[in-house]
Amino acid sequence: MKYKIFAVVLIMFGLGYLIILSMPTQPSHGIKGLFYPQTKPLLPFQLTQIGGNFTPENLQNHWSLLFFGYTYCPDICPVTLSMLSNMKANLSQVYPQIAGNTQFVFISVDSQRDTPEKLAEYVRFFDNDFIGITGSDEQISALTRQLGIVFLKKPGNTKDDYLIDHSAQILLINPQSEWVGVFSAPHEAETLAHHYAQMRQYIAEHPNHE
Amino acid sequence: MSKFITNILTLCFLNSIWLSSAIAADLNITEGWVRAMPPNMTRTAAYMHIENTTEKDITLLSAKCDNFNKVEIHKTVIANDFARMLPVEKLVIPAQGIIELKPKSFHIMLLERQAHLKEGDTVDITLAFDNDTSQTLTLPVKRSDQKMMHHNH
Repeated sequence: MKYKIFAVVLIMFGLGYLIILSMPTQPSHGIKGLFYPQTKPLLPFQLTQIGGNFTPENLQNHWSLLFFGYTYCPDICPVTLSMLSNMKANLSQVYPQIAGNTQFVFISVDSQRDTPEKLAEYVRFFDNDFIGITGSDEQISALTRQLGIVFLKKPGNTKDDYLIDHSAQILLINPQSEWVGVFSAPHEAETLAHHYAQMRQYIAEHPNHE
Repeated sequence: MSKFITNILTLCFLNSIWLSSAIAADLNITEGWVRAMPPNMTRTAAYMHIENTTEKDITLLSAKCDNFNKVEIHKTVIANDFARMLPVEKLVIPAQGIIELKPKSFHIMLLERQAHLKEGDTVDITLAFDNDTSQTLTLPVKRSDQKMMHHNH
């Protein structure tokens, strides 16, 4: 059993690394984590938010920062959502020109316990504008697979009492719903705001991508 | 007979004073707080700094909290953009050392909350150590670690 879990973890990491390796090499701009001008258009996916679906269309016309986790997570998820709320405040103050059209999306990888209603209440505790989405295991995988996000359920004492180890990076999606960059963990609000602004500025100055 | 009981009680009382003063001198626990969570969430975490002022290692064996049915010690480990939660059986506070329970690191995980806790409430947590002593802390419930953010300025 142990070996089986180990093998699964190994394969997941292997896939994760393959996705990373298949990403284009670092372009000449030297901005850490920015793939642009090589971008990766997102394949179709369909998740659920309170009041409706969430598909690649919901990523259009906005710049989106994505973070994956689950509401029963006692440390890293609330820490990251608090950080993102501070980062959003910092953006509005220091980089108001790019703060406006940025949306923050928390994707729950816990299909068994999280619902769109629960997620809405959860993310709004950290910031009124945050969006919380989830779906079935298959629907979640349709998005995580293409973004190199991995997660692993660790059984607890009872059926509903489990923890999930999960990827901790924050991903940047452009208004054409293409993956353009990644921010590695750990994160700090002001550093992240600056890093994001740097990416946005470079992209704005090099619009020849179209 | 009643004198006997009085004597026992006095002994217990004196003993408890002696124990708590011994603990207060051995372990210095500061910066404690509990993360405020949305009303619909039943899990959270407690953080603190535990300083061992003695020449011998002291081990934190377990923690208890009346507001939660289950309390566990965990450590968040982030490596290669993957966040794992590792259960910690025993947390050794090294002689003359300090262990920081803080976000993205060691924390006391509080599970199965009984009633909603909001910012400004307090939570009593009892820590049991391997020198047969325990210490009860009253920790504030806070939205986020504003103090730590301050350090980053």
